[in-house]
Amino acid sequence: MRDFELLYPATIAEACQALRRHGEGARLLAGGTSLVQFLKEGMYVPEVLVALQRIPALDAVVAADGGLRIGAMARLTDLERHAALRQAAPLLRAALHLVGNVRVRNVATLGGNLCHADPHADPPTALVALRAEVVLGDGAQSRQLPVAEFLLDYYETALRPGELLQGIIVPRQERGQVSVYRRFTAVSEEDWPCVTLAAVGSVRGRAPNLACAALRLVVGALEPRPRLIAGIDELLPLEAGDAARRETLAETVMAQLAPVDDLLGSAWYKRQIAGVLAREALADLFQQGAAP
Amino acid sequence: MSTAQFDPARYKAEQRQSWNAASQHERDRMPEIRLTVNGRQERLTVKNSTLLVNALRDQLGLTGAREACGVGICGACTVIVNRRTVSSCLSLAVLADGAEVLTVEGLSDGDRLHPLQQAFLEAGAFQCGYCTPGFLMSGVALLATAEDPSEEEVRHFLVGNLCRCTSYQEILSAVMKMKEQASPDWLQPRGGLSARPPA
Ligand SMILES: Cc1cc2nc3c(=O)[nH]c(=O)nc-3n(C[C@H](O)[C@H](O)[C@H](O)COP(=O)(O)OP(=O)(O)OC[C@H]3O[C@@H](n4cnc5c(N)ncnc54)[C@H](O)[C@@H]3O)c2cc1C
Ligand code: FES
Ligand code: FES
Repeated sequence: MRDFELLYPATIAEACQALRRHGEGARLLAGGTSLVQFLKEGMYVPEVLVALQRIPALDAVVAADGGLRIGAMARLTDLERHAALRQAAPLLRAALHLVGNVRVRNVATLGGNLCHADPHADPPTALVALRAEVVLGDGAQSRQLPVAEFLLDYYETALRPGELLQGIIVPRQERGQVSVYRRFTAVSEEDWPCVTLAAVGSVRGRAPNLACAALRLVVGALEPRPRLIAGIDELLPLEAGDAARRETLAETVMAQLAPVDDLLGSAWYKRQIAGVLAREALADLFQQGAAP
Repeated sequence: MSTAQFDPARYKAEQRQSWNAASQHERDRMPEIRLTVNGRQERLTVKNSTLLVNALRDQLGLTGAREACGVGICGACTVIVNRRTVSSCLSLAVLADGAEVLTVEGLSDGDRLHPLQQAFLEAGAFQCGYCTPGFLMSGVALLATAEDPSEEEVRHFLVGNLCRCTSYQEILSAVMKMKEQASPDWLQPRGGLSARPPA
C-alpha cells in the first residue's frame, strides 16, 4: 500500500475544502473497512485521506420530522443497538444485523456503506424500501436526494466533487406496518449476499382471512442498483388464501430482474432465488399480520 | 509461485531492516501514536498506511494476531480496540491513537490461562491453532458484553471467524460453557504474556 497524507478536518466545511483542494488525489476515510481493502489491492491510490473521525456529532442519531436522521459516521453496531431506530425502522435494523460480520459492523459506518456503493450491500435495499433520503453537503449548501437516486452504478454515487454525505433520513415505519428483510448467501453464511430483498406493507383482516393491502418490494444485489418492483398495486389486495395470485406476485418480481452470471450464481439461479425470497417474504408478512 | 520456504526469522529481520532504512526525514514526518496495549502504555512511530496488525506484530512483537485473508473475512487478526472486536488487517494503526487495545497475549495472567483459554483446552477447541487467538478474542468480547447469549446468537457473533481445521463444534461448546462464568471485566487485560521483540 502506498503511503498517503492524513488530514483530520474539524468541520464539514474544512473536509469539503480539502476535497476540493486535492481533487482526484483525495478520498474520504470513514470506518475504512472497504477503503483499506481497496488501498491494499491498489484499486485506489490516493495522495491524501480526509478522515471524518474528528468532525463532532457526525455520528448522531436524532429525531427528524416523521423519522430519524442518522449521521453518516454512525457505526452499524451502534445503530443495531439503538432503541429509537429499532422502533422507528425495524426493517433497517434487520438489514444492518446481517452485514458481513461483527468486526465489520463494529467499525463500518452507514455513510461509508452507502458511499462505497457496492450493489451487494444490505442497507441500501432496506433504505430504498423505506423511501430514505441522503443529505449531501459541500460545506456551504446541502441537498437531499432519495437513496434510490443516490446510488448510480458499481462504486458510483451522485456525490459531486467536493461533496460528502452528511446523513441519512429514514421515515418512521408506521404503526401496523409489517416489514421483512431477507438475504440469500450462495457460498457461506457471512459472504456477500447473492440476492437481497426488502418488503414493507400492510396486512388487514383476521387470520385466516388476511389480505395484503399495500406492498413495496425491493430486490438488491442483482443489478447495479436496488430495483423497486413495479406493478404490484394491480395485485392488491392480495388475499392470503389466493395461491394463484401469490404465485403471480413471485413471477412479477422475477420478470423484472436482470441478473448476470457470476461467482455467486448464474442469472437463472439468482432469478429463481429472488422468487423464493419473494414467496417467503410474503408468507412472513402474513404471519406478522396475523400476530396480535 | 516462489518455491522458497517462508522463513519467519528472515522476514522479521527484513522488516526491521526496512524500518531502519527509512530516512530520518521520513521518520520525522511519521505520526507518533500513543496507545495502551494489554494494559501497557506504548508509543509507536508508524506510517499513515501502517496496518494495526503489522504495528502489533513487527513493532511490539505481539504475534498472536496474524494476517491470513487480509480482507476482513477470516478473523485470524481479531483484536479488541476500545471494547470492540476489529479486524486488525483492515485497521489503520494511526486510528488507534489513544485507544485501549487487547490482544490474545493480554488474556492470561502469567502462566495462568484465561478461563476461556482453559475451556478451549479442555474442549479440544483447536487442532493447528492458527485461528485460536481470533476465536478467543471474539469469544471474550461476546461473553463480556452479551447477557446469556443463545446458541444462535453465539453462532451469529462467531460467523466471521473461520477455522480451516473445522473445530467449530468444540469452539462453540467451549464458548457456551463459559457463559455463566463470564463477566464484563474480561475486557480488562490481566497480567499478560507480554512478549517483546529482541532488541
Ligand atoms: C469482510 C467484509 C464483509 C462485508 N460484508 C458486507 C455485507 O454482507 N453487506 C454489506 O452491506 N456490506 C458488507 N461489507 C461492506 C461494509 O459494509 C462496508 O465496508 C462499510 O459499510 C463501509 O463503511 P466504512 O465506514 O468502513 O467506509 P470506508 O471504507 O471508510 O469508506 C468507503 C467509501 O465511501 C467513501 N465515504 C465514506 N464515508 C463517506 C461520506 N460520509 N461521504 C462521502 N463518501 C464517503 C470513502 O471515501 C470510500 O470510498 C463487508 C465488508 C467487509 C470488509
Ligand atoms: S486476516 Fe484479518 S480478517 Fe482475515
Ligand atoms: S484450529 Fe486450525 S484453523 Fe482452527
